[in-house]
Amino acid sequence: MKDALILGIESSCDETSCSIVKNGTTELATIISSQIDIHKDYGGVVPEIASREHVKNITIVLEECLTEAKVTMDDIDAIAITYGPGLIGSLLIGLEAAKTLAFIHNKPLIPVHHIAGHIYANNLVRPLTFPLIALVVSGGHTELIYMKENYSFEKLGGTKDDAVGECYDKVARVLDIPYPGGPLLDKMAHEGNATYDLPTPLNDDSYDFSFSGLKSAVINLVHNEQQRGNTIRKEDLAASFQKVVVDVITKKTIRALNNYQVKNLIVAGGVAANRGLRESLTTECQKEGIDLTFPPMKYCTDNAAMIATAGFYAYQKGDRADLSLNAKSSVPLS
Amino acid sequence: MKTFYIDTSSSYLFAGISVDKQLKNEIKLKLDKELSSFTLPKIEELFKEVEIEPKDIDKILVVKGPGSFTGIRIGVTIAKTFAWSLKKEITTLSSLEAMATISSTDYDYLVPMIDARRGYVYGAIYDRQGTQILKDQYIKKETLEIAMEDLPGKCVIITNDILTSKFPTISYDAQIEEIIARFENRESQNPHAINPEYLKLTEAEENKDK
Repeated sequence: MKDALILGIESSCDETSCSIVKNGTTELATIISSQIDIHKDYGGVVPEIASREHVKNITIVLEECLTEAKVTMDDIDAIAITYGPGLIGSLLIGLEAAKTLAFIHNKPLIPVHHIAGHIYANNLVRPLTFPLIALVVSGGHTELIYMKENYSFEKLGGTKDDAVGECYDKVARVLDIPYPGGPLLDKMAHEGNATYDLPTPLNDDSYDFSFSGLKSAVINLVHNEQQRGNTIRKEDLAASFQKVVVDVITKKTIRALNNYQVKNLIVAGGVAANRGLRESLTTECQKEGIDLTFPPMKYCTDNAAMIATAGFYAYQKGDRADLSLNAKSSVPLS
Repeated sequence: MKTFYIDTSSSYLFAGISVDKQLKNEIKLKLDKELSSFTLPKIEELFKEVEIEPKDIDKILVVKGPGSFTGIRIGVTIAKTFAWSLKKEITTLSSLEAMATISSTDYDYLVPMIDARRGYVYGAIYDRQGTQILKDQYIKKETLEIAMEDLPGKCVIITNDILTSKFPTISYDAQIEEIIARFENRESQNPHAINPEYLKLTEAEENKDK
């Protein structure tokens, strides 16, 4: 088979990224322009500012990527683009750039779901083995996906409200930990003990999650302790919060693996970097004889390498979009 | 010179291709929320109809705003990607300059206005040759009207929004051939440096230090 070079573009939140991947396995170049320092001042991503930054960065990122990969647009076989879910204004910049490149260079346009990208980031580590369960945990997503074969997705469950990463950031804010608080909260959790009593959210037989109640419980707890004049032991509260989150995610993930008789688990998304979650899943998967894959840290955050990789399999499957492809803030993976 | 013009700063898509200042074909289409879906398909049709390939274009003329934030970004992203990737010349004009481009008129002063809500507009004052009298700005509509009262000649508001005024008002219909002829020789810029002109900070930035 002839090699296929896919140029991927990702701009769904606050990272402008472009990547060129060969045959869904070999990364030639990936450029990521992160806006994290800009949004830090606002305690979270400001959509309008994110959109403005994407426009400034998009062609610079594209150029750097082609230069680093030492290829030209003539060498590219198809353009893969994140069309959703994400911030609509942010998505549109990558999308219009991708559509323009497809138009002026007469290349196929491959629509890629952001979550499919996160899952396929693992393919850059080693080829996915099917069937598998993918646990997607990030600032925007908390989902369990069953994959029977390449590019087939069945959603088993997802969050009913806040995504797990979003919950981490909000709890971090309550504890006065600077944005993005998730990673720091994880670090603090390792320095404390789970001594605070917090409710386990949506502790049922479904594969769904709910984190807004847990977030409220933390806020109430902090408030009540302050009223009583008690000092919050931040490390202990972080440990207590993390234990509840990690336990419920681990429990539901292991149950999905057992019920579907699947021996492969891959983890994807920004929260895949969470040490507490890594430790818990590693222990449980060892017990159950499950093959577990975590993406390397560089693929945990948003990047276009994962989009170009997923795009290759979508391309092989025959997925194509025309120039009327629109961005979607929320869209199921199917 | 083959020039491609694109303006998505309002709810309309205005686009055209001209060869040596003669307009070959144009698009004037109200797209509203469909702007992101249909701008490129319509542009593809435009190129097909005039039988010109994107690579044959010499210069891109893009409206950089002010106007709808999302709208401006669509046009600017398309234009800068096009120009960068095919190594084409690119230059910009403001939406208000485009609106004040009328080939012949009885009015002495043209006052383009775009509704920016809460009593504000994006506005400017130009004379009929296109010379700027009052620069493009985010301004209280009343303030702009006071400036109009002092003008030593007949003036007219040009807008596609519903704005009531004691001054005569005409609706904006892009004269694309005239716009290209007037602005295509403007000095080219580096495509990477082509960015929207919002004339207004984001709300988050405005409220930051409050």
